[in-house]
Amino acid sequence: MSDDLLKNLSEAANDDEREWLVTKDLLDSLPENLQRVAYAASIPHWFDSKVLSALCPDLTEQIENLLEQLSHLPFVESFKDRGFNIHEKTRKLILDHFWVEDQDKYIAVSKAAENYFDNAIKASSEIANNQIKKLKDEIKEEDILQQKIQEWIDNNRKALQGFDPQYQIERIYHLVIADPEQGADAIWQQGVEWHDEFDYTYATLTSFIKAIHEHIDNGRVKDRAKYWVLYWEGVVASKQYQYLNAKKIFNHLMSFVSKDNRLWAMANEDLGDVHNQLSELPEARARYEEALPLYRAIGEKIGEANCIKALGDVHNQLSELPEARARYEEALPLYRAIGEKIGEMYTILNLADVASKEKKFDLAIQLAESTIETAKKISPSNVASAFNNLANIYEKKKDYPKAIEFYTKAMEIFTGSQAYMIRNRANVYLKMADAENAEKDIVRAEQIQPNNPFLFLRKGELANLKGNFEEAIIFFMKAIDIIPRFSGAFFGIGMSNLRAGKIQEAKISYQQGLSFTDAVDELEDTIEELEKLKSRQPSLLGVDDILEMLKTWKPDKK
Amino acid sequence: MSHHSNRLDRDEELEFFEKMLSGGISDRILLIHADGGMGKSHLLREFVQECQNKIIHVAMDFKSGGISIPELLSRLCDAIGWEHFDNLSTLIQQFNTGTTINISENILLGQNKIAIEQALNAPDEETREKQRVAITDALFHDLRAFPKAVLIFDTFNDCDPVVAKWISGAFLTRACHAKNIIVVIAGRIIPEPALDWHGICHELVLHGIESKHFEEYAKSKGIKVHPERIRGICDAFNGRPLPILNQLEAYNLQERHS
Repeated sequence: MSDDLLKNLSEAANDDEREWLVTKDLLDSLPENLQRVAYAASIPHWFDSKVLSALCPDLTEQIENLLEQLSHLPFVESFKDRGFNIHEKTRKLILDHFWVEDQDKYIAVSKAAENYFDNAIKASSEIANNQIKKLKDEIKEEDILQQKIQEWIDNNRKALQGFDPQYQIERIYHLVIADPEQGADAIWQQGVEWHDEFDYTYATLTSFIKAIHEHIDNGRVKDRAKYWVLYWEGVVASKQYQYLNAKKIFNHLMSFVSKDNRLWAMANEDLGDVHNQLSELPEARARYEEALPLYRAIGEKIGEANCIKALGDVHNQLSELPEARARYEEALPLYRAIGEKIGEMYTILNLADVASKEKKFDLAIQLAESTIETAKKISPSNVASAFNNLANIYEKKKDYPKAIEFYTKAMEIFTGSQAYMIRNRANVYLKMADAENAEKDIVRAEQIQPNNPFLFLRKGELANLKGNFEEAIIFFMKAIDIIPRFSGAFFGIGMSNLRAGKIQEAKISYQQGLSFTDAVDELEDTIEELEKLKSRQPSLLGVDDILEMLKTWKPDKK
Repeated sequence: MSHHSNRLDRDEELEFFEKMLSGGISDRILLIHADGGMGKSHLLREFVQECQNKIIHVAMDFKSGGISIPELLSRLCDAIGWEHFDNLSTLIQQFNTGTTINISENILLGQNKIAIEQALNAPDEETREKQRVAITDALFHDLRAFPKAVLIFDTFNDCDPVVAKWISGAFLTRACHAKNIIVVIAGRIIPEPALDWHGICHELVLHGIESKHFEEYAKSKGIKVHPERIRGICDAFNGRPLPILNQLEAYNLQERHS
């Protein structure tokens, strides 16, 4: 080889081929056992003597020595706290050739790797369970128990390394090669666990997706396992508010054919949610309708209930109130049957919203109040949410003191994220023409969420209340910058222009607002505001025309 | 490169880093861009050596995967010592008022990491962003107490997208205003210099190494190979160290076993 090397290098078709020539020359130059270990070491993302022993069990006795020799090779790097790894570029070359030239061996080593990481995870779990049980038996005081457990964890990090999510990622990374069907199931199940992280960054799930993608991109993983990875990619994009990207990923997933009903049901439901976020309601409805029978086919009650509720939400947004109520009433017993309290609570709150839109305020209040006890069993944020919804009903009922009372109560119960409740209360103060209190709430809400479109809406409304029409338009425009189809902000600009005597501009703004309106009941507040203006300033020009335009408007049912 | 391999020529880069440490130049953010196998991780290890026993420093490699913002902050504070992070600890406690952490259900994640995760937990992205910014402010407030601190991040191309956005944004903006902080970031992809910190940022592209350095390397290791041949291999790979060292090692082994 060496004699022909320069010639071969110059004739190589590309950089990868050139690099493989020298890598192969080095691998071929290694003593037999070291060569075997080098190939095996390329399979996992990192290795130490224990990993290598598991991958080459017949070499266990020599493994320390072989590892020492391996670690001196140029393509081996140290890997903090875990031992070593093969350099990313060399590893890719070795794996590509290994897969093509000896797939059976590749699968066998992957099987051994999966087994190793599975055992490591189980071992850590067993050690932890035993120790925690022991400590729980010894210590009854909860604070001291937690402290002792923490001390024990800090002193036993190595034995507990199986709890590191990277071990689980590594296990599944090998499982999809060793047993693609089991691997696909594992991707689904692990994704379910990791798609709901504390800090909403989804770093573990993203890392998981990236690892399995390595196989997909090199053609080693296909079908179900690949589709589940695509599904979780779509979920992450959606959770990170990248709705257009999420839509693209889910639509790409839909271009494949799979017999996995669960995957197809979940993908349709999630794509429905994405369409919903993008205000593409007919498309959302179509996806939920597609998902529903699939959930029924696999007997997944929670998915079935969520889809029915989501269909109710679409009807509700389109002000198709009898249909919305029917869907909510269909979802409710399903949630109750499986003990899903959150689903039950929000379905009742949505029924209350429907009743409120139908002006059946007593029923709406009764329904919203009935959720408070359930909410208490879930969390303070849900209790606050129940009170917020109750306040919304009083606001619609125009019982503003009661609305303020319940918004305030909601804020007292949950001191966490409450900007939306403060903005809601500011809205009520604005309706009461109480500029001073409205401004206080707006300033407070701004400290928590400075760039929220509804904050800009309220700031614009406050400026209108104070007669600062030019300033108001600037705020409404900021809201529209964030939500281009924000009808309320266009109506706000219309009001600013109308009061400033710019009748033509006002009419255009109201027309723009109408073009982004989905249902008649969305216009109630705007009509009421105009009627109040008319009674205060009967001589103001243009009000009647605009009122006529709003009152005769009908939604485009396309 | 192997953790044992002899050093190849990166004197210029090392000299630049030394000047940053001594304050001889105003640049405090160093971005090292290099293709795979160019020797950037090896160079960063030399940077760490340079800081050893002299300057507070933390080196982190994103190749291990799954490093979220809480994980990064937790590792950083673990490495330097939480006792130096009063402002950060206080803020985390403030954000976490009313929440409890059950450690027995969160093995190995570490109490501090969970506390940071909970502190950054909010139902909407705007609030989370605001909390991330507040936590970044507190971190740099604490870091300013050191005479000098060096933060080194390797394999930025493997960095989680959310973390990458945070580093390129809030993190480097604050590092720019903390005059005692030096940040080195290396990878096949590096952050795009932003308007507020590009003035103190130096971008370094690692190029191939001249053949003569590989010839010296081979000589020092006792590898008998004609300089002409090394030049040929060096030309084929444009001086990129990894494949050239692989081939020299192949010669070494072939010679030993012949």
